[in-house]
Amino acid sequence: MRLKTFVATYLLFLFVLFSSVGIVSVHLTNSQVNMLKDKGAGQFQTIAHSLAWDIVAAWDNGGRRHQGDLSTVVADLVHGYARFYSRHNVLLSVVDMQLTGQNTNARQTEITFVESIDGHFILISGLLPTPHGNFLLNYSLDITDNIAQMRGIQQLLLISAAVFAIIAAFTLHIILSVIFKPLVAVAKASREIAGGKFDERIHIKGNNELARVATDFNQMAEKIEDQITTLEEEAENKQQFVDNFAHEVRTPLTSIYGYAEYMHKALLDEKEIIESTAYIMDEAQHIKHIANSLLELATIRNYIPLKKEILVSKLFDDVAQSMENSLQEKNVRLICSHDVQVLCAQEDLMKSLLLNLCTNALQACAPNEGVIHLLAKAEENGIVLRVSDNGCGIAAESLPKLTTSFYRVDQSRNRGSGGAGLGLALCKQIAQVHGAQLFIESKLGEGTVVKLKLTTSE
Amino acid sequence: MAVILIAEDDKAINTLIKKNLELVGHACSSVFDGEAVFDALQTRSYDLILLDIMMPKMDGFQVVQAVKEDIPIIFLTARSAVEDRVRGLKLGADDYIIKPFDMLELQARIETVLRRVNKSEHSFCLDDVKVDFSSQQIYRKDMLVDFAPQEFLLIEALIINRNIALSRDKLLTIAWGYDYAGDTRTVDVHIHGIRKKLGWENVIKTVYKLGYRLEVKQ
Repeated sequence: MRLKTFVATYLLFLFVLFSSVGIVSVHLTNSQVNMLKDKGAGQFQTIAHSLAWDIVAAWDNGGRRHQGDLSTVVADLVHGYARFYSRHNVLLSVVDMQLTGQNTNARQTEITFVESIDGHFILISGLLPTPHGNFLLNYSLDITDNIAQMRGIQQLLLISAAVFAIIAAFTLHIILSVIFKPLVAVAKASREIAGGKFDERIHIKGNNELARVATDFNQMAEKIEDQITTLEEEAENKQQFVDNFAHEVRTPLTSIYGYAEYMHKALLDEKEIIESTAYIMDEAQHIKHIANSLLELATIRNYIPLKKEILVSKLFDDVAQSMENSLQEKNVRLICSHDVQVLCAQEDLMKSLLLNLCTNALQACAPNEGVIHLLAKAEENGIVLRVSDNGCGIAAESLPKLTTSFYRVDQSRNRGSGGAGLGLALCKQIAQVHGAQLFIESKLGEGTVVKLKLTTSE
Repeated sequence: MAVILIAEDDKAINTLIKKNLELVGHACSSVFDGEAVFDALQTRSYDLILLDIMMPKMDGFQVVQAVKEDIPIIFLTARSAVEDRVRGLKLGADDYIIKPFDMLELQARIETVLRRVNKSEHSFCLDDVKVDFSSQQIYRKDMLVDFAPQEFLLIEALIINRNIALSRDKLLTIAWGYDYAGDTRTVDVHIHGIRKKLGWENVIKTVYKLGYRLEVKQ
């Protein structure tokens, strides 16, 4: 593209330059020759008249008296003239037309330009004025030097044109580079993006068409980058989900199969049989729990809750009662308070949500010093349920993933420190079907606050 | 008999592995997180470490890199991705077993690793019978007893997997190979012969509907 533009523009430039140089030099030559012709014609006239005058004078005043020959007199005079004019590169000769017997009546003065090996000449031949009109004067002006000078000027013109052409080539190259720079940038950026470097952007200042193209291009690149990032994240999350799910299912299966095989192949006493079967039953329970949670998640996804007005005090009491044993075990306090009396929700779902949040809070709390606050209060456009603890807190990078199924903050997925990682996923679903929002804030070492915003506008 | 350290955070699985390994005569210690591996290594020397990857405090990959002692390590994990396996083996693990695992497979892989580091049993004694694995000879009351190669393979398999019932099919494969077209009754005939030659009528027990088990008091 750039090369094509360069070649086309440059050829056009060369054509214009050299044709004008050609026209100028031809014109110059012509006008020079014409000027010389005029000069020659003027000189010829002068010579012819003065020669005629001299002939008359010489002939009438002396020639006849001396009985001389007219031709001799003329030849003498011409000889004198020729000697004088030879300094001006002029050759003269006179021919007596009566001797050659040519008709002299219709003879006009002729001016010709002759180019020969010896040089360039302007030839003028014409009859002398009367009364000696039978004499033909031949005049030849040598203009070889003038023509050579002209050629010199032409050469100079050509050389300077060539120099200009070279300079123009460089200038054109630079100008095109500047003009094409943004295009080159666009091309480079698109190549990079095609190669997978999606963070590539073009920087073009100004407000011309190319700057707009660059802006659009950048927007496009940004969108592609966003989408690719989203896709990558999704793929990663999916992989994470599959890995976690596999772990959650494989671990109990390993135990179940292992203990069954053990009982099948080894010789066991009664104690060992009871131990082994207990493990098998425990692990089967765990799988059942996962299956139930998954089923619940799937069911709730398209569920329309039967919302009823429920008493907050009763809801909190139920939660506290369910939590009582585990709270005592760890010696953690649960403090409930509320400044709203009723809220609109499906009771068992709301209870399940609060139980999940409280269980998580209890899990995070240190034994003996943990405190969990369960709070319900009215805010601008709804009711906020708040569960806060002073436990170990959650790292910031884990916060966005908390509600993903099977996500566990504990990378080792140890079952002693939590469940399968479905609790918060379930909470989020319950919140969603209630048209509520779940917010989780946490600081490592300080504790976690979970807020559920229920809007009352409906 | 080897001394084996089991690092696995799931109590059920840890106990299961321990029970299995103790059945065949290995001595085992259990730890439940990555850091505890190093405490255990301080107190005694081990012939082998069975290592889970997803553990609290320190994961299995970190443990492998930090263990200074020259002890063979087998990963025992639910992570089945090829990258994990490659990573584990590249870090210097001797084997990589994926959960859920088969008891006999676990025993066999442990046996292979132990044999490689020359920590496997060279001989086995029970009452008046002595089995020498390296020279493939069996003595009863210090007298050399004559055995067919298949019979020796059967005895070897029963001893390595002692206290574990081996199915007739399994025994057939071990002694005669996968492509053997014979009947499982061949196994019965040979077991009968072994019992008679070694006086092991009460040692090699017939397990109902399954096969045979060599029972040794632990």
